[in-house]
Amino acid sequence: MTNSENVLKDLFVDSRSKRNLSIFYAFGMALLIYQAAVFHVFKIDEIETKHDIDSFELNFVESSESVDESRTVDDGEREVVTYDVSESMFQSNSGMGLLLINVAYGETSGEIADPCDTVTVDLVPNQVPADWNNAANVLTGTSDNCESISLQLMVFPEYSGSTTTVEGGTQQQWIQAWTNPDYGNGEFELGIEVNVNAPITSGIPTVQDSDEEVTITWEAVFFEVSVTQL
Amino acid sequence: MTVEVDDNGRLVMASSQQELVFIGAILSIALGFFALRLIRKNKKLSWNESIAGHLIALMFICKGIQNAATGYFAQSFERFVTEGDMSWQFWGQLTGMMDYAFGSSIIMISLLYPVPLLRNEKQLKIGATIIVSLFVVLRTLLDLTGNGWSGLHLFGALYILAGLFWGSVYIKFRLTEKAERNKSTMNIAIVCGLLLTLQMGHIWMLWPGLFLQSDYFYFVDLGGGPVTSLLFDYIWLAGYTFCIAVGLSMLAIEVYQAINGNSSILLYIILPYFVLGTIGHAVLSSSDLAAFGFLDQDTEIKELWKTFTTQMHFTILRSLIAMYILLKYGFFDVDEETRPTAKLMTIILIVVATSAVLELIQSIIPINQMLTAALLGIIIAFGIGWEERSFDGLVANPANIRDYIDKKWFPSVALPDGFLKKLDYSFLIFIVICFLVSFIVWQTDGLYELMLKRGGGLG
Repeated sequence: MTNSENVLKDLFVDSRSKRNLSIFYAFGMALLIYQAAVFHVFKIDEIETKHDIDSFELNFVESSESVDESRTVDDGEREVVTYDVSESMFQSNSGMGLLLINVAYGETSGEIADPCDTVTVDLVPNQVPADWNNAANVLTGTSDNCESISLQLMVFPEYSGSTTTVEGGTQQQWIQAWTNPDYGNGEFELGIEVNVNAPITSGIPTVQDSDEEVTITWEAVFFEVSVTQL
Repeated sequence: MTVEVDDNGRLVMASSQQELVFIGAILSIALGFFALRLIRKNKKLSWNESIAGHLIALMFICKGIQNAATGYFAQSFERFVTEGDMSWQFWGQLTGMMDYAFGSSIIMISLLYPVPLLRNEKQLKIGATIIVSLFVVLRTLLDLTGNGWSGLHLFGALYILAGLFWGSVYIKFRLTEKAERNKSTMNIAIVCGLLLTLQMGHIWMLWPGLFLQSDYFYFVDLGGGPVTSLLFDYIWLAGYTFCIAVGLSMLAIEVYQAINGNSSILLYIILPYFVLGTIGHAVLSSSDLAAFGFLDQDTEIKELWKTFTTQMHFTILRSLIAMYILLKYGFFDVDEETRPTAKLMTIILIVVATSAVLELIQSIIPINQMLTAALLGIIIAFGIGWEERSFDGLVANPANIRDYIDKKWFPSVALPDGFLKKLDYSFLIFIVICFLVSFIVWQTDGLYELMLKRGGGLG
């Protein structure tokens, strides 16, 4: 047979080839029609809005663990008090939002006209995962009038506790983003320094004010996140 | 254009996929350059094989550039979101234009190899003119006139046309009369199947999505948002649909032939793609994002699945399949002079692909680095061992596609003097033009303007 210049003649040379190729083309056409129907009719609304970005509302339900402890610190000394949050809190919540610390003291020497001592406290940045550089943090405080000192550490990044609206992603992704048991999990260290302000009667041998008792209240604020699509 | 950003306002792309496109770039460019060098030295090729061989090598060079550009596009688009960097337009345009070369080449190859459907010089000229005009010149002009990503680009045509041509030849020779079956008819069918696998394998893994109307299939959007029109998205998906039609037809035929005692290696090559598609349906359906959303941040399991299936085929397996075709089907005339180059090519491709896969596994499973280094050593040793034992067998016994069938299928066409050299140079010039056009599009904010015009935005 000489070279045919029409390939179609050779492809469709016999009834077997015609049948096989016709089935192939018909199947291809059928799938193309099906895809066109799904694309332009059945799923058209979904396809046209596929790039619309979903909005979600994040709500935080707070619960906290509170621990008190007292410590007597000598004049001129610095003591470090540590605190570990209960593991059960991490397991039962989405994450730890912030850590609040209250340090209270009074003048306990019992001496007449003894002024309040100076108490300085500082939360020591360490390896505990937390938002240590957050502008809302209050990591140090001083008092010389027996008023309580309040410190605050934002633990979960971007946590504010208030309801927030976010865009994009999925509900599951946002829950995942706001669920992390690592933040706040570790040993926090609070440095306490006392400098005694001696009473005017300090010259008398029996008058003594050489330390102070401080009461520390640790409050670990946890949250449970719920995500609602708007 | 809509992009997904994380809760810190940062655009995220799965890092494994980003790394894979760079591995794909290395593999494709290495394959392309080595193959071009070897094919140019092979004087035994017939006219259609010569053109097809050159086009395979050149299209892989372009694909390699495209893969790298895709990776840089993702990185620069991230900077666009955070810092306003506009260079993403350069990489985005370059990615698109390199695909013009890849798509046009693959259509042309399907018209010429293994059996030339264009049978004389006139048909060759007409075919080439239509392909270059429609899929290169027109597209470039549309891009330069601010009409990028339009329906007229006919994205998806490469799948329909190549699927139609190779699919027809495959069916013709795979289902030939029993009395006419021989090594050549089988080899023609197999090489058609391999070329179709190379082109469409990653799409076959999405087959359940087509029938079950899944979001991951029907939400596929090449432009990543409202930059592309509905028509553009439809044509692109029609291409995917035809790929699945071709793949399922091949699978049915291979199963039928296997039942009738005429099985071929193709069954074992195609079947895993469809099995993976079945398994992957549950994973891909886990979110409403498309299966191919390069800039999307999907669920972790879905990203992982895509990295090891569709992206793995797209970036690594394509080069390896092409290397096998080139070696097995006699595109290289391996003699004392060319043997070191051919061996070097196979070793580079196998080692790079193997180490990339191991690195990917290591990034997911916490395997000790010393262990993976040892594993890599063992695999390379086996690879080199395979190369020593099997390379000679592979290249010394090329699959014959001509000797046992009617010569009408292989008409002679006299190519003009220096035609193949001109073909190589025309690709080189086209690549230079692509860089130039991409630079112009970047400097004139062409893609950014297009994005604004079509209602896209950052979120």
